[in-house]
Amino acid sequence: MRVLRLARADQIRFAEALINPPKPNARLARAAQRHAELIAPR
Amino acid sequence: MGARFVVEPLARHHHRADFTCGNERIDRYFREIVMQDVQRQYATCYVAREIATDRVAGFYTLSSSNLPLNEVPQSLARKLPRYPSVPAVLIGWLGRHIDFAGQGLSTALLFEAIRTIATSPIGTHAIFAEASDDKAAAFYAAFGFTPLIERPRTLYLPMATALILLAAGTGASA
Repeated sequence: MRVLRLARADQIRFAEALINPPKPNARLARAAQRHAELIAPR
Repeated sequence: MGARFVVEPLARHHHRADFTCGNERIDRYFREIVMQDVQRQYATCYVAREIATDRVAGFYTLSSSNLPLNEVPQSLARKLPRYPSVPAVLIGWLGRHIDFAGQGLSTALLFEAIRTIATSPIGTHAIFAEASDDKAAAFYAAFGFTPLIERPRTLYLPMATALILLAAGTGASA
């Protein structure tokens, strides 16, 4: 198990992101389509 | 289905020796080191294999990680799902062979990695990515990963964001 050590400011920003997660952006939503086109379903 | 690639766990029969993604560090890692990391269970590695030719078109690795959040103020810590440390999965390496450029395969592999993490039985609260250079960091950032202030080539996406993405269902259809 690897330990990822974050600086204080990053810990706080990361914690805030966990509490208030952003919605997936449009690019990420399109990545799902690209995946469906290129990669065979398992 | 007309899908050109299949993604599967790395095995000995996958031909790694000529893998070329354009970044020497990534190439060297995939050619020479990845199998050791898999064998000592430091990482799992998945490859995209071109179905028609059996060529390895791309790969990514995942490693379990732990994030101490020991410097978060109490007011924030109380709201965290886990404290004082949070489990995460790290996308340590992701590469696409230059012969397969221009099709969005890196994008598809990133989505595949996110989906694999999200559907894994191991509980995790975030996905981290380690970018090999600034261009790779910009790749992850374009998909909404947040760079660390102190180390902008390390970026993260909350698991909850990934779950919203998968609930939308677009890529999950068969």
